[in-house]
Amino acid sequence: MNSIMNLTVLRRAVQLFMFILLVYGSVVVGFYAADKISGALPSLSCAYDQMNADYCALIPLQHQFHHRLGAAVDSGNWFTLLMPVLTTMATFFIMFIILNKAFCGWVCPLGFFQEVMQLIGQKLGLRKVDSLSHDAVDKVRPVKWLMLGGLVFGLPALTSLGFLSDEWGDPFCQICPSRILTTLLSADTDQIFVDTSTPSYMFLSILGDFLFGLTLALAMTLRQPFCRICPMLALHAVFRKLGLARLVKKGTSRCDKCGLCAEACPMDIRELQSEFNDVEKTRDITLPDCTLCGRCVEFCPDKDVLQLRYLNIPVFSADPKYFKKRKKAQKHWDEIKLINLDAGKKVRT
Amino acid sequence: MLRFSFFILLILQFQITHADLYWQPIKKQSGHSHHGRGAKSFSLADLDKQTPLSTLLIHSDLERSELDASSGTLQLKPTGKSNYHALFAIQNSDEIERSAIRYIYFNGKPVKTSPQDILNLNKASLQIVPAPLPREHWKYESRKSYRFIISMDGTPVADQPILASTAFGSDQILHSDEFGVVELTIPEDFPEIIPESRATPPGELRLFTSIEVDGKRYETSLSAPYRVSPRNWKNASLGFLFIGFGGLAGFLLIGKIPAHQRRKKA
Repeated sequence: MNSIMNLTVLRRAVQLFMFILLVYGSVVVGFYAADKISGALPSLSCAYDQMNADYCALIPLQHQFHHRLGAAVDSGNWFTLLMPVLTTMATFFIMFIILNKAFCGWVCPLGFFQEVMQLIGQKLGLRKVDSLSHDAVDKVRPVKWLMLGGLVFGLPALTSLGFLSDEWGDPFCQICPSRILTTLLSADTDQIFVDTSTPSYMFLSILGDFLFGLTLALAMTLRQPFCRICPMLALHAVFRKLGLARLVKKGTSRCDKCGLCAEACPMDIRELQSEFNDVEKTRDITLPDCTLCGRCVEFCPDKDVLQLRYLNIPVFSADPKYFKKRKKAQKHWDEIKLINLDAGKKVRT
Repeated sequence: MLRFSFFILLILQFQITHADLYWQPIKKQSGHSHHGRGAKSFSLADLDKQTPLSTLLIHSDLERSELDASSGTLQLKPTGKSNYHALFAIQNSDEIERSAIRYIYFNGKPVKTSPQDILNLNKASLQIVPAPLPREHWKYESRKSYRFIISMDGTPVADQPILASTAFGSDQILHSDEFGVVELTIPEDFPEIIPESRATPPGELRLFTSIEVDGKRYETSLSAPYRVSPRNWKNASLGFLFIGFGGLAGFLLIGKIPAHQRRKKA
């Protein structure tokens, strides 16, 4: 393995390509074709960006619950709600089945942006928090389910049924950092605002702006801060058994003592280390928070313990030789710093 | 000098507005748009009843339907096809060609053609072509700039005067550049602005231009609705301020997150 040719570099190249396509894709596919490609991509590619080449499934889902549920309840005709929701989900599945949760780790523009911010933070010598404590991870994990259940389905449903005012029809989009990010990157500042028209809009817009600033800053130190609470991660988690791409493990007794996989995981999935050790058969370990980035496989020193599989065919396997070269390349990369803003500060442990 | 410039402006305005055939919507009692699914009514303003009139709806898949607008009004029912349709009227005689166009979005089944295919059609000799039309869910907005191409028989016309007017009484005269492109900033001229999305009824934008070639006069118009700019109730400076607060909170939080050593030290 060449020191700069590894899975992470390949993934970054794919992410960069997808980022350009998803943020500036209309330049490639044509202005009008751009918003007609699917209308429901399983990643945070924002419909508010007028230069993009698609948009994420969360906006049609919110709108369908907001505009159709109340009418379906009133008329008793559930077909009017189910048809559009099933159409959106069908479009979602077409692409989701191909890549499974790899949409998060390989395609999502917001995910890529957070990784870039992390690189910038590292090169500026900012303090790096490699892992959160078990307690912190356990507290953060349920948030993505609340985001999915509450913001994507719950509040739009309550709005449709008349319990909330119309402002709560698409609350996730109102606070999603990708809305501000992707529009800003296409030189459009229209999505940065405080909406003074109603108290609800004002609250949601302030929350959205604040969350964007918070994500920007946290991403420079902590790996993938927004991904950990993203409702798209939760939606992927629900259907992860349907995807063709998988992370599998056949652990050994050494796994308990090692833990390099869990340390490499940007989502702090400690179960990578603790589950499926000393087992006879390879087991699926595509856990709810996994983004199929493959870093755990790269940093696993034991042959074939961890594998990325597609249609159950191994496409990338843990290998001691690869591990040694990858570790060396990572060490070399980490040593490169443009400046060291955190120099002289005592490291907290 | 100032008086002379004003005189020139008056002459230009007279030249391109003395006969302005254009489409305008007829407001419904309910005022609900049905997201592009309901029927829409339009009237032709300044129709010359002496000159033969031809009215067409060019569907998003380029199929053409003949319409009867001899009374000056018509109602369009959804075609069941998605995307932009072109409502087109033309009055043609030996002396003059007058045309009016309006692009209307309908929802329905997807079509294989692009709005660009409709825009590329030579519907009249002289045309004002949006470059581009707003994408689905987007509308023309006040305070924003949009581009239009002026073409004669498909060829861009340079330095061509255009009158941009609104139903609220704003007028401005623009000139196309060497590529026939006009950039128009839609004025903020709503008499009353209700600070909420879609609460203010849309305005009507009308673009007119005319030219004389080989003794024949050509006139055309393009009309479209425009919405009030949300910048009236969305404060960008406050938005940047709260992003700053978020960033500050993030950096403060960073210092407090304890680093966790996942691997057990030997």
